[in-house]
Amino acid sequence: EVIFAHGSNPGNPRYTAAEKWAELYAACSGEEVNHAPAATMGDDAEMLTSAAAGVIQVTANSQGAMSQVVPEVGLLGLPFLFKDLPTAWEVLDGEVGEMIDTRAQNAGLKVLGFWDNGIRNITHVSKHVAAPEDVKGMKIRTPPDPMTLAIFEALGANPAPLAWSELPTALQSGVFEGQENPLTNIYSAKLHEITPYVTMTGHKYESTPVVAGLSWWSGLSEDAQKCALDATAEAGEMQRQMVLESDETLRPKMEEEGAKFAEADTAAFQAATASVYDDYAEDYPDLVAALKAAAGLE
Amino acid sequence: MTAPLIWIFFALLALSVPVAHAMLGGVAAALWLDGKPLAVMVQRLYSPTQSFPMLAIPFFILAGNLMMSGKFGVFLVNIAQLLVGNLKGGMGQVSIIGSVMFGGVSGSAVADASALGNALIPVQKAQGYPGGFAAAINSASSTVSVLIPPSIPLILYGLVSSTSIIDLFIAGILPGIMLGVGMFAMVWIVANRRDLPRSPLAGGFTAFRGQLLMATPALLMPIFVIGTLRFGIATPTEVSVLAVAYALLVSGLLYRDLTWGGIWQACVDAAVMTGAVMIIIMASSTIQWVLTAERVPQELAAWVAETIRQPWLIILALNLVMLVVGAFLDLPAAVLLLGPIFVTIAQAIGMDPVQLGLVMVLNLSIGLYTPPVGTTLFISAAIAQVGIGAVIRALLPFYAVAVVVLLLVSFIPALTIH
Amino acid sequence: MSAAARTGQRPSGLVLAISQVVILALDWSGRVIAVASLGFMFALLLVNVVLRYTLGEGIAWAYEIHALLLPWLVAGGVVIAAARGVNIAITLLPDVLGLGARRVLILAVHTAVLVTCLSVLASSQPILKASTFQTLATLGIKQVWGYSSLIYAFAGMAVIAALELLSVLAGKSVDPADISSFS
Ligand code: NA
Ligand code: NA
Repeated sequence: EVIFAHGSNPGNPRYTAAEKWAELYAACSGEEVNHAPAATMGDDAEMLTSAAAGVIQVTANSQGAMSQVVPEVGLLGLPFLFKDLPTAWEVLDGEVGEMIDTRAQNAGLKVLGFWDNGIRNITHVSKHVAAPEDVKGMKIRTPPDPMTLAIFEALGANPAPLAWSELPTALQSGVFEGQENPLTNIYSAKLHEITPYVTMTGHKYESTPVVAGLSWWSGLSEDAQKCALDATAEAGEMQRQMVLESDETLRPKMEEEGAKFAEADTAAFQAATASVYDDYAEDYPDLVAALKAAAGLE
Repeated sequence: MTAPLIWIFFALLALSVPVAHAMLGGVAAALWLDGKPLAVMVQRLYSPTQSFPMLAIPFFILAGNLMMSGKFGVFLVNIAQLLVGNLKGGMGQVSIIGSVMFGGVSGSAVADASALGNALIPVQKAQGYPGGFAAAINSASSTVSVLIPPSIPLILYGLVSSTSIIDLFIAGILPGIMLGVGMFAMVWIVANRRDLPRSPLAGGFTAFRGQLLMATPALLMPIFVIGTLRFGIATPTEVSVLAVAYALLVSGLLYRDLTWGGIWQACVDAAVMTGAVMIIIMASSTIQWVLTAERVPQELAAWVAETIRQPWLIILALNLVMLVVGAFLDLPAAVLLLGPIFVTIAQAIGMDPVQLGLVMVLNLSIGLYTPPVGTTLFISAAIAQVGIGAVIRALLPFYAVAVVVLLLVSFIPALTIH
Repeated sequence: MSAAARTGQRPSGLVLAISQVVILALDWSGRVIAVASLGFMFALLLVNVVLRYTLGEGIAWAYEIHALLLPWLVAGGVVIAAARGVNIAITLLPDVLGLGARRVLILAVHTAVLVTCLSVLASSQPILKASTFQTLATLGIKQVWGYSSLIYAFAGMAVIAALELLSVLAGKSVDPADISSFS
């Protein structure tokens, strides 16, 4: 039995894609797949530990948690790196993706492919944050992801990581003034009801790495390995389309429910976060250069 | 995997293996028989310790320890005596009023049963109360503590069911007061029939005006806890930290009975209690893994909804299951085992998870004073030095009160959902 | 205590004496670890709340430190609880048994505790190894520092169970166990 685990609830594109993966892989390999959604097998970091230890076999995970194991994955979230989702996909499906897979294998994990998590935007309880100055001093919740923390530190905000499950209470309690997430996540957790001011900053791209335990992967026959890769690619194509479409359909839906949208001054934000590139280029000069080139920034 | 897990768990439990180890033994055997890696146990054991809200448990325990270890405990009994000592069976009523007030600083019924029991049961016996009756009042009324915020079982339920701890705390106030009032009436009736003595506080109001004033800041702690949560000043974990700071301030500046030795002891006691509770939480998280991997909650919920159909019958059935489980298992363990499964069932019949939480904690708290395993029952009987049988006979009217409150809370959502 | 004194002259007295010393040392290690973790988290979270309301900014890692220290607080508490024999159990059976049967039962219970602890320890390797690759986001500390609290807790409980087992074999009295619960 193959356990495919992730943290999303029904209705989220990740859930639908995981269901698809289970169906495809089972049909192709003849093995039974146990689809375990909604973080029933632990949160993202715990699922990575479990996959590496062979407790579960595959997880559709998050870029932030994954970057705590393979720091290079975090570079995909460099501020304003990809101009749109298709550019990001092209980079991930190419050499950069292969390089990340090589690094992951050192930590006992095998990357099967990259699904999508969308581009992130900021929501605030009481105001729009169209310019970098509006973010200065803002108490903002981020995922436990070093890149996101670095971006908001560069902007002079006051970021702190908190588990996703505790976010609504923390926002209601005024521990944070706002948070940042793709629209899909904001909508599915009804965060726009607590933080109705949505600024379309698009400050950061996030993938959903689909990761297997290396020991399980190595024990598979070549045919079964191909089944796993194909299932990841096929379910991923569907998932990416869903994310792309949902970003367009969600905005009017959220506006109807009282969310107030505004555009951000992207150029000003880009200038204010340029130092993040310099900081990361110190540790990863080649990869930062390669990403910039691949994304068409240079 | 589920069947061997359950058999081995109950077998080890019956042999008096500690609950957490009985759970781990059942899970280990089930995983091994199924050829699954045992490493999952380590991962699931660790998981509950990664939760920020879980941190509220040691801090609320510590706040209660600090508050009750000094003069406040004495003041609390005096104030209760000032209020109700003049009634027939006054010392019995003091036990009830004391539990309601104590509930506001403590999240644990067992802490209440031993603190108030040691203070009041010997006095009641000296005044001619039958030992069984004195122990019965103490063991039943101490459970009010887990309904009036703060409450450790409600925090646990909130975590396993993803329900707001703030909503649960607020929802607990009314049922807690109803239970207190019901028991108050019960003691009044019994005291009149048995002609139990009045025990007014010597010196009356004038002699204790000072203490009343001094105890006010400590008595305001539940209002402080609820207020900070309700008005969104801090998260439950931060409120528990503020409650510790508040207890330190009140006993340090007002009562001036704070010592380094006392603080150390309060911290060690809080750590032991946290360890004993958390290891069960951690072990039941491994059971949850096995149940989830086999989709037991979903299938059970579907089966219940399919076979029983009538929502009110389902609620009644849930209550019966909880009463039986609560008779055997300790409160936190039972909340963690039943919580996830029952939430799925409640969802299927459209019952609010906050209401279910109160029904569950109220129901399982009755188990604290029922045989065969009842913690407040054992503690109270030991303090009163009477047999369990005598206490249970005296407890019969208290069971009736608790079941009436339980039925009201089960079938009137307005009592818990505001 | 009295059993140890009575048998002080025999070899079994040595077993009892050593086991008491080791268990007391474990009890103390638990106290130090637990109180240090509790005190540090209390101070940090309090300072964080105060800063938030006075200066409008908090300490980012105040929201992450529990990931490391709550496991150690729990582990400390678990070891103290085991050292004092106050872990929550249902003790109906030993209460109705005679002294001889009770001795056998208590030996069986300590064995069961020992076996479960050892099975947790034996299966911990893959998880510990995986956790050496995981870093906490703001603290930059490896998760293995948190996971190792489980090793301390379960090794501590295993040692205590083994010593209790030996002590009962060496003639320690089997008075009815204390009932403890913490609801
Ligand atoms: Na309480
Ligand atoms: Na019971």
